[in-house]
Amino acid sequence: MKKIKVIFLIICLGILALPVRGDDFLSTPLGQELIKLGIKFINNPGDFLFNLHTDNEDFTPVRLGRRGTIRMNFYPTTFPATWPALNLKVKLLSDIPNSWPQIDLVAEYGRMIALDVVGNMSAQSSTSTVKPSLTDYTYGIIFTKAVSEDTRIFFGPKLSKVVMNLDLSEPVTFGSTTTGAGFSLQKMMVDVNDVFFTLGIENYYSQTSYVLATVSYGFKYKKLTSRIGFYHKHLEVGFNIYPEGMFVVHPFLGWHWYF
Amino acid sequence: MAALKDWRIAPYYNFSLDQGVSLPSVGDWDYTINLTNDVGLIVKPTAEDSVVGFYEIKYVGPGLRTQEGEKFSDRYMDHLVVARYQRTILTDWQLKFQTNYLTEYRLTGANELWGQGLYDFNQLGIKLAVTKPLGEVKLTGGLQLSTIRFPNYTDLLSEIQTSTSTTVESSAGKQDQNNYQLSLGASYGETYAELDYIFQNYLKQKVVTDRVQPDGSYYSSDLQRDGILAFQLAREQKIPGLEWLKIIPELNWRLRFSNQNYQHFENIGDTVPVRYFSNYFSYSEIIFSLPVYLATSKSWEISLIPQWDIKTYADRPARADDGSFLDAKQSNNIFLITLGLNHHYSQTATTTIFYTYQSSSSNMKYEKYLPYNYTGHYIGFKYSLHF
Repeated sequence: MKKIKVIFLIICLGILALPVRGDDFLSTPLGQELIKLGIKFINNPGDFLFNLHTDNEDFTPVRLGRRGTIRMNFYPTTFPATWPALNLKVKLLSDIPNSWPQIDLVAEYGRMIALDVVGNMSAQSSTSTVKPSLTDYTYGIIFTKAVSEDTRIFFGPKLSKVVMNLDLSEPVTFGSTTTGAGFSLQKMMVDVNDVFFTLGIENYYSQTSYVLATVSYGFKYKKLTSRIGFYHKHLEVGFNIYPEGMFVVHPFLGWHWYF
Repeated sequence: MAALKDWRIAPYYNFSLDQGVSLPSVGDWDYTINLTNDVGLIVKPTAEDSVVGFYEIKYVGPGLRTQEGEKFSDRYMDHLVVARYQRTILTDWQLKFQTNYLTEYRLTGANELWGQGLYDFNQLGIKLAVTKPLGEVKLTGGLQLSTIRFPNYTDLLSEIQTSTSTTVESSAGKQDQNNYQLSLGASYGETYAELDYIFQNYLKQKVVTDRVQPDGSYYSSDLQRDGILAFQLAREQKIPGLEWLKIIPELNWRLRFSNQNYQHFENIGDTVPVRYFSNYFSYSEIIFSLPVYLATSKSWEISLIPQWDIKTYADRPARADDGSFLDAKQSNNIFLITLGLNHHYSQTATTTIFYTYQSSSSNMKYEKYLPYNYTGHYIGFKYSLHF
């Protein structure tokens, strides 16, 4: 039962969705490669989860001429990781030429539904006092200044946090831990938070469509992330870059509503 | 000084990301990311004065290397802050005063953490430069002082060999240095030339000798002193009637003089060296590049950039693949050629698809730790936003 739950969890994390189909598959080259990825994940789960959390974030300014934005990221968080999040951006002050920049407040909150389900499923049988959960949030402030008719530059600080609690009464093993070609999972407590500073530029190529690029630097872990995104009326696509991440490039797909 | 509302203020922003796959003929393939983000502000309170503030963050990921002594898996991250004040005096003399601070984090292993790399360093510099036009020639002279500190560096070999309680302290800080740089530059139309001399003064690194010293080591009382003479010549060549063609040849010639020598130990832990080599680190290096840009339309451009790099050591012998020293002096040759297709889809944004071929060859055949002889391919795309 526990193995099923952990498999369910890992599928939801979107990592080892394919290999967990039996020991035969784990011994294939693809299975071995995916176990290596799993080991890399186990060695530093916080980093990978933090990257997924960054996929969920929308730390960019409110669009020109609008007052706010509500946004959800679909891939790779809501699907396949069952980790939806709600982003809210509100414009406090409009960009005044030769004076104040546009000022936006940004907040994001998300949680992994799969872990909540696992927690509810094991609530009666588990001896652990820790209820499985994964939550993330961000809040920050963005300053934006138009530098031409179609280009704006923005910057601002944000606080980002991911917390994951997982404590199984017995370890679950994938592959063979004695030969080093496998890993075992029993407890995973992740609490990663950092203050980032973000710099970015956006370039409009129509009234509703624009491209943007950002670079963010986290002071505590010296973590660098970057985003290139193409924003349309509601749809946004692009990719996030995590130079030291388990997966360097995360394509993303989000949906937003302006008001 | 003009009122605040009359100040002219212009921002500057540059984002550049290239990513792709690098395939060396030795070692593993890697996914390569190089990222640069610059942001700056130019303020002109009056017609004679200007102030520039600039910040750059740069990440160089794993991939093919053009510098000797680096592995394919190495990566680094830079934070650079520059503040510059410029003033025009006596009609056409330009004075520049600049301060800059650079922090570089280096990772040379898979499990290292940023900020704990052996070769991390902090550099603080100040620079004073004067520019004066003489007819159509613009002359520039400059003096730069910089301090470079390696907070995590220690001489690991020395620590292993001596293993005394004072070793850790005495082996730290050996890369710390104070540098002085003199520059002379001249530009004429689209041609630019510069001559630099850098005095590199190590604060703690002693010069190795061939005799055992009273303290039992092979270090003399002399500190390491290096000098670098560098010459650069570049020109943006346009051809009349062929406005769609642009060629930018550039030559860099560098001579390094070092008073440091080398004692070769056969194994880590040995205390008696087997060979002594004087003038081991002096070399000359010539780099020539010939970028060619062909504009096929207003928004499309093809670029072809060949580059040759020849580095020859004055007295360092080459080594055979078993590590034995040869009579010939070490010489490294690198040839790079990059073919790119650039699309400027607005005044701000550019996308490039590129392919780079690299050929590195050397008579240094001992490649247990670092690669010297290999070919490599790097294919990917580059994305940039610039204002």
